[in-house]
Amino acid sequence: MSETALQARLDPLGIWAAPQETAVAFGIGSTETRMPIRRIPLPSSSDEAQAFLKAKAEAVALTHQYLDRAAQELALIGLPGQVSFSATDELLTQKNSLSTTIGELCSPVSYGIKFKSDPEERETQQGWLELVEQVRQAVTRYARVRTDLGSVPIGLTTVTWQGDFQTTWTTGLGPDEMQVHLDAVHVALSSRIEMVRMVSVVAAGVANILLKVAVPGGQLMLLPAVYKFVRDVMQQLFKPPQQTLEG
Amino acid sequence: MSDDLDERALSGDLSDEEKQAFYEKLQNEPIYFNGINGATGEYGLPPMSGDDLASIIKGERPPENISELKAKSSQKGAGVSAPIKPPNDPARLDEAGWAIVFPALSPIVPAVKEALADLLKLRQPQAGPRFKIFEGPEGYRPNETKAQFCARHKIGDGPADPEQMPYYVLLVGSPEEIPYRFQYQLDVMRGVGRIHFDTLQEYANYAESVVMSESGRVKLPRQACFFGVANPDDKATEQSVKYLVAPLYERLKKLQPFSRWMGDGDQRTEVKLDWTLETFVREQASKAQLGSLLAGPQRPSLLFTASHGMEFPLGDARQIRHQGALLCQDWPGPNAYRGKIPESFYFSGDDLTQDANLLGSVIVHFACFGAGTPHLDEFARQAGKKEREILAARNFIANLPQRLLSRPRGGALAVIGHVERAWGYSFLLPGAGAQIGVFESMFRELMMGDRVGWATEHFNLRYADLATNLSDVLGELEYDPSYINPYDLAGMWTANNDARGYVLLGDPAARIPFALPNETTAERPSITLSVETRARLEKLGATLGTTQTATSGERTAPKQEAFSPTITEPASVQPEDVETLGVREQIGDLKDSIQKFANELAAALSKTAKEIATLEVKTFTTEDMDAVSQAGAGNALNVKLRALTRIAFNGNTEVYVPERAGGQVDRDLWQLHLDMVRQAQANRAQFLQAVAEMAANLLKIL
Repeated sequence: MSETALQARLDPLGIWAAPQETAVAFGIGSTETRMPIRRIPLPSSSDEAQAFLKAKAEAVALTHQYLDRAAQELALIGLPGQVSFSATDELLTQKNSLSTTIGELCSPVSYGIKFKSDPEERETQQGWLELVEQVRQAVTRYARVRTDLGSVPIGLTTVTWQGDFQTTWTTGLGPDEMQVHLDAVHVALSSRIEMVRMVSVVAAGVANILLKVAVPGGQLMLLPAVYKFVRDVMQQLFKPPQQTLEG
Repeated sequence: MSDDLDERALSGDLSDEEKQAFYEKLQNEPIYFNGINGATGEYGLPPMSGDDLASIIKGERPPENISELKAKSSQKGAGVSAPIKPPNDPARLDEAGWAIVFPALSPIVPAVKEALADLLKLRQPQAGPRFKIFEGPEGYRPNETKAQFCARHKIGDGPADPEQMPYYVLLVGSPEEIPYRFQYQLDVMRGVGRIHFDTLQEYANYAESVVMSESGRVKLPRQACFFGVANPDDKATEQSVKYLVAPLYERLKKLQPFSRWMGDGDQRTEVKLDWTLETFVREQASKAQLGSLLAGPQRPSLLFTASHGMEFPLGDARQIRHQGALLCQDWPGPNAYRGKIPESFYFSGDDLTQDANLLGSVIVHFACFGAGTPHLDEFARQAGKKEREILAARNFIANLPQRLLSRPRGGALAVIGHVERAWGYSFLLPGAGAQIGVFESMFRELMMGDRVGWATEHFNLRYADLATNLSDVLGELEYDPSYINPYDLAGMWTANNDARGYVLLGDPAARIPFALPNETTAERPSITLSVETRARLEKLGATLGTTQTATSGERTAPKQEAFSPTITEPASVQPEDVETLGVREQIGDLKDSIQKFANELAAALSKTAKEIATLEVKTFTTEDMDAVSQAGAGNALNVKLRALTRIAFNGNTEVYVPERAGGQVDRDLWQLHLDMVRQAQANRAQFLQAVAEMAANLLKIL
């Protein structure tokens, strides 16, 4: 899974990309108008919009489920040399890869070199840093989510850090159109939680591995490796099941 | 409480009426614990009443290895020959055996083993077929319990059978790699010691110190010193001097000379061993005096210290280097001195000079954290709290004993001390007299030349005895809450914890190389690493790099040594350490990003905790959404507040229902508002939980 594909999984509405820093420092307690608005453009038909949002909500639910699975796998992994996982395990490749990486990191000879020389690892590390920054901005600012059906604005909801909601509706809308905004807010906030959980699962995985093995450089060297593992596990689990011939 | 009643209670000389009065008074008297917080100058654990402590203890669960503890306890009447399967003699390594256990997964084991090569060469022929190395897959595996380790190696419960696993066991690794709990449990039926150092040089120094001590060239004077601090207005140290140091000194003096049988068969002869005993108590127990006993001309072969151990809060810069350091008489006490404790009041590993030569000595510390500190507070766990307080970022061995064992000119052979807090009144049980029997037996056996792992058996036996009794009492209390008075229960529990927490640092098969009466003492020689050892270390140093670890705080490699290969440890590598490997920038980025994020989360969570008393959901309508987007609902014109729900933390709810022009409820909008309320409630709970978990997980790796 590329960084872009992961981003699409974690942020299916594409609204949580970290905005560029401006001269104004956004932070806790800033007035709401200084917060960036996360705009959700939807088809002009409310039926189409609802179908679109339903699919996104299902994707978020799957992301939740797969992050749980990644967390469970990480709780069991971490012993270099123990790569005798079941051949029928759908995550065999990912587990072996992480186990190998841990083994390499444990070796004094290869200490840290991997991160210096491997462009893929650099990309992974960069992806992790971007995710952390994205989550940092998403959770330390108010969330302002606006839904537009085609070019018609439907609703704008601001969620404070404490969880208070302020929703403004455009007057004269029908219930179906208003339901679209309700659903959009649900998907947006759920996906924000999954992004937070992604960082949490990676950090917990690193902490768990460090309890089991001595990795020179510890958490700093393990973070990108575990991030990559979680990312790859999700990619594997999101793959459609292979067709099998019957009869 | 009068001194007279106090004294007579300690000797068990009270009538029933007096005893009742004594307990009633005791219940109002606080129990004091050893340990002074260096950052604040306050007691590490505040004094508490017997009632309070007892109420905490009643939720105690029996230890995991209670069956083995009971078996051990049953040996009490049979003397201490029972921990090892007869007819094996614990004095003979060819019968008792000797084993070394490494962590299974540590990549530095081969290098450490090389550094300890001379010690292994010494022990292998001594133990013969009963010499065993547990390493690689055979070594200690992460999170393994003693029972799992033994099951894997087909080692049965009960008295040590050296054919299954040797009686003397040296663990090599930090308590992160081989937990304290494993050491406690294995120690119940075996003589177990541990070493863990920051550098290969220190491992080699220790190995050479043991080898030299058994070479016949070291003839130490039979001299033991008892160093007892009694800080003004401080009951804990007053008690340890009065009821531990002084009576121990008097008792050992009275027991002399000690008889020791030497030789075999017809050649057996009795040797009378008399020791010179000295005390340094109260005003004599200064930091300068302790420095002299450890590095000056007065160095004894056997040293006992009783004092507060220093403790520092999590994250304090001094914690790793100075936790467990010995607070000396220089501290004027809690009334005369307030605030941060300066280093001039206590003796730490930093105070040991590079040229100190402690070759052959055995040192015993009675002090909180004198041997080490666990990651989590044992006391909190025992108190039945759901969350155990984090005492330190990780389990670690105290720096002072590490330095005592690894001096480059010659290290001590063993340091016996306490992990976690030492409990002052474990030697002071009302009605039973001052309980110094365990200390007395240990010192007597050390003075008779027994191996240190054997001499400390008395602590194991006492732990087993106390744990068994405590377990039985706690069982009875479930049916009869008045089965035992709170003060006695507190005493049993405290003594139990205290006995369990004693650990031996060093080779358990070592013994003090004192001169026999017909031998003359000699100046301690300095150890010198062989050419082969130096070559090995140089080679290993080239492989492992020369990074100094943070486990030793700000220590730097000794400059006068030509080489000092060191071991890199997890979680200790700082960006500046790895510059030469070219990854400084990447590591710095990773660390900075997490640090920045964690700081912001901490601030946000703190702010939220203050403002989370209500949940507020507002619903507005507007005809100009773009204006609202720009100005915000609270500031834009043509915005109407249509509905509001405010739910207080106590459940009180205020609602403002939207109306249509005719005064009827706008049901469609109200339904949407209610949906938003539900969503807000769910989101707040899930979001804050997710953020709190993320913050906790990020903190784990910082």
